[in-house]
Amino acid sequence: MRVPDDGPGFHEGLKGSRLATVDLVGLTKVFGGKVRVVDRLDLHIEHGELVSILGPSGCGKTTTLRLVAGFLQPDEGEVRVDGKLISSSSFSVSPDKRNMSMIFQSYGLWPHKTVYQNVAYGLKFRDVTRAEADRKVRAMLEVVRMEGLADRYPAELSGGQQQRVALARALVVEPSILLLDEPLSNLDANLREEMRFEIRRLHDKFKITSIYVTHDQAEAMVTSDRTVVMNMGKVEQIGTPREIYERPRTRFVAEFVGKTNSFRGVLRGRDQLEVAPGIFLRTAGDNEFREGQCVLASVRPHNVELYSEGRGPSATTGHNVWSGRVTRAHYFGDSVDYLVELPNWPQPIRAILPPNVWFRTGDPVRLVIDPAKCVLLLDLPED
Amino acid sequence: MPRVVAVLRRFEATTAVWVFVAFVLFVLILNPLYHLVLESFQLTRGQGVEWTLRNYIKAFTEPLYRGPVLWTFIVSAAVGPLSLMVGAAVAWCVGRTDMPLPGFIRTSVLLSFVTPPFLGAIAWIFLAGPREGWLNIIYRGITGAAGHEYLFNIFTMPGVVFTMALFTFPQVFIVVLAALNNIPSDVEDAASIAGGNSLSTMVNITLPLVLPALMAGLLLAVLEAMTLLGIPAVLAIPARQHLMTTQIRAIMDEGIDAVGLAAAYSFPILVAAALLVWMQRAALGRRGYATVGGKGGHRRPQKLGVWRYPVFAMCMVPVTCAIVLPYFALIATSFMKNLGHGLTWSNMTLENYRSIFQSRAIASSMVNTLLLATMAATGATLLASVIAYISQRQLVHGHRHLGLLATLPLGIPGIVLGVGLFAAYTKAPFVLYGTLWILFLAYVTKFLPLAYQASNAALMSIHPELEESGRILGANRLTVFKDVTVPLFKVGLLASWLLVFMPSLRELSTSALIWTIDTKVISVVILNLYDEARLADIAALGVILMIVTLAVVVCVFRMMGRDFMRA
Repeated sequence: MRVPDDGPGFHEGLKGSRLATVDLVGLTKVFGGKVRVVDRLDLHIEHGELVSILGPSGCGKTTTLRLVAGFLQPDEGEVRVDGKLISSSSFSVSPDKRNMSMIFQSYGLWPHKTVYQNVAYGLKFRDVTRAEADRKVRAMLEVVRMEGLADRYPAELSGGQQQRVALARALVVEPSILLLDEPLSNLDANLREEMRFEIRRLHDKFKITSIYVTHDQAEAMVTSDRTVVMNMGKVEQIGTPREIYERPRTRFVAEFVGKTNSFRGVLRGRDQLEVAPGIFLRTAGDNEFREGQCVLASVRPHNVELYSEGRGPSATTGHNVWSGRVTRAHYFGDSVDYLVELPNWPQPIRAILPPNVWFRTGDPVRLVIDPAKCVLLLDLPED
Repeated sequence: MPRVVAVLRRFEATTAVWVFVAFVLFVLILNPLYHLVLESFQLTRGQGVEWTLRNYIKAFTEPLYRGPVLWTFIVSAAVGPLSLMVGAAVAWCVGRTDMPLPGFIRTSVLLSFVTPPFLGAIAWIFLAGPREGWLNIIYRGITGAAGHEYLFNIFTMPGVVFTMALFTFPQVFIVVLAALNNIPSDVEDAASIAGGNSLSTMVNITLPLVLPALMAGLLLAVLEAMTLLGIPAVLAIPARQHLMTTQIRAIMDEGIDAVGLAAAYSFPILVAAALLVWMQRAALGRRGYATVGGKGGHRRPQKLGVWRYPVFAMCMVPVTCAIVLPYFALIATSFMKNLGHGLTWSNMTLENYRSIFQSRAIASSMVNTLLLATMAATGATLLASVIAYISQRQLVHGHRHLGLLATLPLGIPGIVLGVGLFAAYTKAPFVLYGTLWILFLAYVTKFLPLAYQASNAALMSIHPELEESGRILGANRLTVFKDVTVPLFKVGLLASWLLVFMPSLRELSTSALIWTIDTKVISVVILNLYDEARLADIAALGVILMIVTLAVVVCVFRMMGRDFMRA
């Protein structure tokens, strides 16, 4: 068992907590007899890992979480914790016997109980003495920096404070698994950013196996060890945030996680993509695809460089280099968002650059893309 | 065997609770209906029973029984539109115009909702009885007409219709006002900006939006007129005309062998009531009961200009007839020695109150009434909240049926329920007739829909995540219900309790069929006093009944208020 290294006097408190692996095997939930909200989902989560499930609303991510929590029962497939079956179509351990904790979108704080009572509630059902419970609650309130507000009612707290109480209440029972259902969606932008780091800090401290559901890619990036991108009940890709961002496997992932330029074309040779007759984009290549196959190339706007005419690397360096014209430029303070039109190209290219260079609409520019940043994807017909 | 084990392993305490609740609902609602149907096809022959259609043949061929059917139809058909007109007009004035004192009118109309109809009918005898009615005395005083002449006679069918409309128009008012309050202002604003004048806005936008509510209000009023026992018992019988409700009561008075006939005779009302409730639901659609209140927000009222005061005066007419005059008559009469001698100091006395408090029978009926109302309010609220919980949290398959079953009594007229209960509980193995239990069952059944709707509305405001967070932390369903749901639910429970307690205090149409000497309630006592023509005693008892009712209302609101402050 890993023990947190910076917990003030909390080490003993964690002795009861056991880390757990989670396995979702062919997990399926059907609503209304035909909608496969979660469709044969397979996922293995390691001890102490924080895995985020990322996807648009209605993709089945919350349903997946509720299947793990036991609020829903799967129609097919299984949920296993440490290899032990806890949910299947014919069997389900009730949520109160799963030793899990959950952070809800609405926090689910009880308005008729004080902060202290909220946090202490779960300990009623665990084998701890009153004195011990009191000590644990106080220690946990200290960890989430809420020790001064123990006697307040939730209605008297700010959104961020409520969130911290919800975290304390979930963590104090030392769950083997922590589930988070869009925990930050009710906070304003600044607070959300702060709480992202807070959640990661608490995870690094307690190392509880966690599943974090969100539709916000930044949240998923900051908080998780691995990210599962879901769409229409199915897993699109599983990987570290970096893999997901830099090596998206599908168009959906490329477009949902971060901004992207997608080019449809036919693969010529190993890495040349013909995006229009006679126009080739040199890509990173991918052994999964064969010559002549219709594929997509994804290029992040951040990986598109712009130079004034006559400057920058030339085509001989192996880069993709084209001349074009700026058709739109938006200043964002920390960046500038451009749209550049290239002659004979089927679509304009979006580029996001730091604001130290500044082109105006109509300026001629040299557009450069490193082939290593052009990721090839399977070209699926659009839905 | 392994299947049994698997079933047992999944067995939770919750399952036991819902099985029990479903069973209680079945017994409560379906048992009386079952016996109603059964008895209607039976005739007692010496020791045995004979299966027969004779009850139906008798009920619908004899002229004696045909008249009331016709008159019930006529009265309902008259009361419905009259209530609709008055209720909708007052609702519009209160909700949508700059008429003065809309809050006063609103409160007064709601107050008339609390008044027992039979008491209102008796009050109108004091006002418009042909001989001693005050309005007729005043009329004779002004015109110098002879002593046997009169302007109003409440003991006529128009009198019955008028009195019924007074006590049904508040229902229309509530439904229509809620609908008006639910119309977002911008919808009407959009129409005005598009160039419509206020009349065309009202006709093209407002009216279609409240049309379902108008329809629902009309159906409610018709339903009420069809199933009321008190008003026809007080006013129509002296006019020598039974309506179906009073006719059923008369049949039941013939004794236990007549139950089959009464059951058969009940059927048209039962079917019509079920149909009306179903149509009313369909009219309101998914909005369900419109009393759940609107979004609030400021709405620009219709400017009435010079018509402000005339419109207010118009709204005061139904309020005066439903509240001001009857209560004045009731209170004044309760202090009078001789009803024919008018309001003079020499005619004042406390004797009526003294005689009431001295009567042991009346005292015991008061105890019965309070006891029953308390028990019924508690029982119905408990049952309704559990059903609402199960059906809203979708705990079991068929949870929707459970909710539907709980609102089923809306379609069972009180008088029919009375026949059914009598049929079900006068014979072994469940002889409850003669005990307070049968009245308890009656009130719980009859007012369960009110409690269910209040519980449901209150529960809807409790986010399921509040319970789920308790569940995941280790509390089982019952513990969460106790620790989280109930405390948050308290205000809703009080509202539900109150909604059952108040009508239980004055329930008549069911009680009138199942009371016995030892189990009289106040409403039945009042009706019996009426048969003995002890009108002054009724007035005093009526005043006491209203004071108790209002006191309970005020107390509970105070309690709820304090609770609100703390939360």
